[in-house]
Amino acid sequence: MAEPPADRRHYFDPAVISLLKGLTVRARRIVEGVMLGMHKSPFRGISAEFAQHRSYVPGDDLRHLDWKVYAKSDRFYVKQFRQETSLACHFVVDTSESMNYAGGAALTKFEYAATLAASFAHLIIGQQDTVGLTLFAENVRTTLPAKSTFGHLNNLITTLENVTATGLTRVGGSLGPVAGLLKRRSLVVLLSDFLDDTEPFAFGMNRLRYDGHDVIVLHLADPHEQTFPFTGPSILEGHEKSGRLVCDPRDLREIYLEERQAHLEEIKTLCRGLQYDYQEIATSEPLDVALATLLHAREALTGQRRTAFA
Amino acid sequence: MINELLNPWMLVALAAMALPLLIEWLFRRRRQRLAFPAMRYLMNPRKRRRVQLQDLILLLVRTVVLGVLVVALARPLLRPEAGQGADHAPRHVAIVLDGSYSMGQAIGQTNAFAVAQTMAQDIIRGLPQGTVVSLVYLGQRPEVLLERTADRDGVHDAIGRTKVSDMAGRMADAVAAVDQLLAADGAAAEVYLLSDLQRSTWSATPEDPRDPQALLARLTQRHGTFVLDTGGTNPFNAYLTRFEPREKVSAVGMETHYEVDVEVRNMPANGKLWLTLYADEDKAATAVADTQRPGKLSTRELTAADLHGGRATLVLPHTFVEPGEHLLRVELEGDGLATDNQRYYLASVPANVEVLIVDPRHDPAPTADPLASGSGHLQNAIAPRTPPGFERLSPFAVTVRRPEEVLQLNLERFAVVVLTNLGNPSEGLVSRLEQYVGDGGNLLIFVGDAVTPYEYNTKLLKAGKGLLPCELEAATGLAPAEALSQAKATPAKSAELLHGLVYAASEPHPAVANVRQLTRQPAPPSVSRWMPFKLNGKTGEFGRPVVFLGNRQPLACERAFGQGKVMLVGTSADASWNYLVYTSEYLVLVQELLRWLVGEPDRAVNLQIGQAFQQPVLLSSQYLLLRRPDYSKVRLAPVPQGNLWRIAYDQADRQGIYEVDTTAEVMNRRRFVVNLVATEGDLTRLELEGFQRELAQAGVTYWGPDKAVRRAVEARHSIQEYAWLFLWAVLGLLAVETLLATRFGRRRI
Repeated sequence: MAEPPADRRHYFDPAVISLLKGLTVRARRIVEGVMLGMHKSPFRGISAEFAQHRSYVPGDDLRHLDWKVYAKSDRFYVKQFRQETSLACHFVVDTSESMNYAGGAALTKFEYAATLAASFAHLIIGQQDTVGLTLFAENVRTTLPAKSTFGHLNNLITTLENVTATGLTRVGGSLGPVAGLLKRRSLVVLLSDFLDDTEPFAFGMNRLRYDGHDVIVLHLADPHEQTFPFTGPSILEGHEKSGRLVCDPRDLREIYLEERQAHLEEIKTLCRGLQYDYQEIATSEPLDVALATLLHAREALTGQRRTAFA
Repeated sequence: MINELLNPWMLVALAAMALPLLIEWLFRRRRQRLAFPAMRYLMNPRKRRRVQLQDLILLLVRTVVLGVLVVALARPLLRPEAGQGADHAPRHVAIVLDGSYSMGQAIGQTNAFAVAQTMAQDIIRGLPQGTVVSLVYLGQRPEVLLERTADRDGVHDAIGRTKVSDMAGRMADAVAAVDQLLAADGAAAEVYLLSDLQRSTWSATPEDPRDPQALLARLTQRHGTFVLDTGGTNPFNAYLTRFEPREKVSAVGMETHYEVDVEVRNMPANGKLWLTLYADEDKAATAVADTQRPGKLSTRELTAADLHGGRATLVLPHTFVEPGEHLLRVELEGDGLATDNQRYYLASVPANVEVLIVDPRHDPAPTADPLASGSGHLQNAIAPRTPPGFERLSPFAVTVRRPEEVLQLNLERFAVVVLTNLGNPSEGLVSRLEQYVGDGGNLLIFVGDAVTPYEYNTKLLKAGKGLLPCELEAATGLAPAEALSQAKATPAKSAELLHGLVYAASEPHPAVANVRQLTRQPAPPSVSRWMPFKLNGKTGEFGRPVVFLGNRQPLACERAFGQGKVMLVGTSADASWNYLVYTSEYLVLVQELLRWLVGEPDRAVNLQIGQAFQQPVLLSSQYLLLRRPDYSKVRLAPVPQGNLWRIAYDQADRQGIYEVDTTAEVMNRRRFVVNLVATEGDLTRLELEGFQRELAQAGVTYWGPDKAVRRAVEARHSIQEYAWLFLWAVLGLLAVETLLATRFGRRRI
């Protein structure tokens, strides 16, 4: 995918986006940024895409014979196209208390996740694909089934706007109900900080894998969570009843990073084993990176698994 | 071991060691509150403990860095072997040199005292300049030779000049003296005691119950104390404990038997000793040909078989042929310590021991029959005639005078005056006799028919203040002839008529202790008439009984009067009251009584170390010079005592001959000899292991004979500053702190 020009980066800058009121405005602005880049594409839309040439064999439909190539090379080649089907995308967004943290970024993790989900939903619905939403904390709090109408998009955005991040993170416990809700194979986009144990999470992921869903794991992390930059004697008070610690954070930084890296490795290993995409995204990063990840994943998904040659 | 700081006040800065803790505390007080969601990554207890441990290690290192820095600034000094009492330099060092005569024992080619001197000089060489030294020498008594001097050469010379004493010393005295010496300034010091660890020097005795080791323990509480052992191996040592004549009274021509007591320790089975008697070695230069040759007289060999319980008594006979004062010496050869192998005896041998008999019936005519007088038998008993070819029997010579002649005589030349049946003595005679006895003369009184109890009790007893040792009562009993005839007529009454002599009521009087042994016969009933005594009066006891009759009546009694003695015999000296004069017992009894009265004329000039010499002198205002055996001289001043003047000297601390530089007219006995104290001859050492253990418990350091004393003292007194070592340690610790902090992720520069 072509890199957007530098002057368009402010469309995706969380600091800029945080100044915008309302998730709809934020999503539209981001989508506009994406669409601006897409106008440069040689393809018209994203359907009926040319895929490749192949040698003509008797029996092939002559309509697909590429006469221009025959005129140039005096050989028969047949054009092949991708056949696209509608994409069912389902966002699973963590609304636990820890998502309400914005230590080193302009947006909280939840705001970042909601903005990202709304933006991608805007894009997908614009292309006639369906989008669903599930919010969870200790368990599933809200579920919107996948639809492709703009009214549904409004619903989805409203839902995201009105929810308050609170409660414990139980990713694993929430994925099971999500799998039960999905009637057809979908692209499940999991947005969470994953401050939870890995074992239940693995259970939920296996369930999704069993049902044949594709999962994109977007691990949201605040820059402070990534670098643990605190100095001086401190009282660290954890979210979600995770305890209270009097310490000099500088002394514990190394341990923190070690522990965190180990936890991330576990999640990565799990995702790699299930052939799911995993991406850690800092909430200070521009949203286009995350959006590009999603688009790339969608493209890959439609290319690898849903391509039907004419 | 670090034991001194040049800047001890810097230790106050050790409080800076609390700085890291303080900083840590202050930082912790200023803590901030942070909400943080990812606490799960911080809650690993194992890792948190690791961090706490790392914090603790860093805190400790930082604290130690400060502490070491402060110690470095305090400038520590190092004395490798320093201990208690080594707080200040230059210090005071007291050296105690055991000079008791056991230190003369041979150790290899040298002796213990030479080893001690070398050790002491090594101590001096090992001391740094400026050290104050005191030197204490232990002879019989401790003597401070040098007190607090920094003159090392002087101390060195003083040590070299010391010699082994002839005295037995007590280490307890030395320790007490050092304690007193060091207590003068109260500062801590070091004490070095150099000794051969002889048991008798180091042990408590019944007379002196102080334990030197206990005193040392007390000394060690304030001062560093070291015992330096000169070595020794319980050597074979024989020593003489007694050398004196059996016959206390002797004269020219009489054989005198000198008894020598030898004690032997650790004698090997094949060991031999030789005992030699020397006489008149001091007269060797002036000897004349016709007199006895001075020098060696006789030698006896002594083997282990001659010993009984490590002791032997040898008798060496000798007969003097010249009157005068004779110096005798016995010497023992063959053992490991020569110092205690000789003893001296200074014998005054007169041509005769003069006895004056005062006999009222004496007839001075040459043809007169002596037995017709009242003292004929007595004369024979006192000075029996010696048959030609025989040795002289008695040292006494008799002079007989009538009472009225006595006042013209010089009584001082008579050892004993004998009164025989003297009735009604004149006042002048009594007065003369009282003066004679009071000045040291001796009086023997025989009673008889002429003696009236009233007169004697009045003139001689004087209610206990006179010469008479008892109150006389009227004579009782019959004349011997009549008693004998009645006894023959009525044998049953013979026991009441004639009485034998009994010498032991409970235990015999020393005057007659040997009579029965010498006569070797039972006492014949021989006394028929006697004069009873009353030994007690209103003023108390007059005298004590000496001889008893068979009927338990006292027959003789004695008392001291002034410097002399008086003996009263309650029967006659002739045959008028008894038949005793016809028996051999009479001779023995008279001789023994006279010898006891004469006493030991040489006792005052044969002393042991520590005993005082006293002699009357015939001047009062002139100092006398006393020559000591080491040729030093001491000035003696006469002091009044009663009606006489005397000189006294109680500092005899060396064996040998002492002589007062004067004439015989001024002093009767101008010379005296001093012998060693017998107990010092036992060279048995203390049991070393036990002694070392006791010293260690008391905190006293023991250095054996193999110790390199000079090097040890140098090491002990050398001072080196070790601040640089601590500064390097600070740098090292800082490097360690940096390394650890980096490794633990705490480096925050």
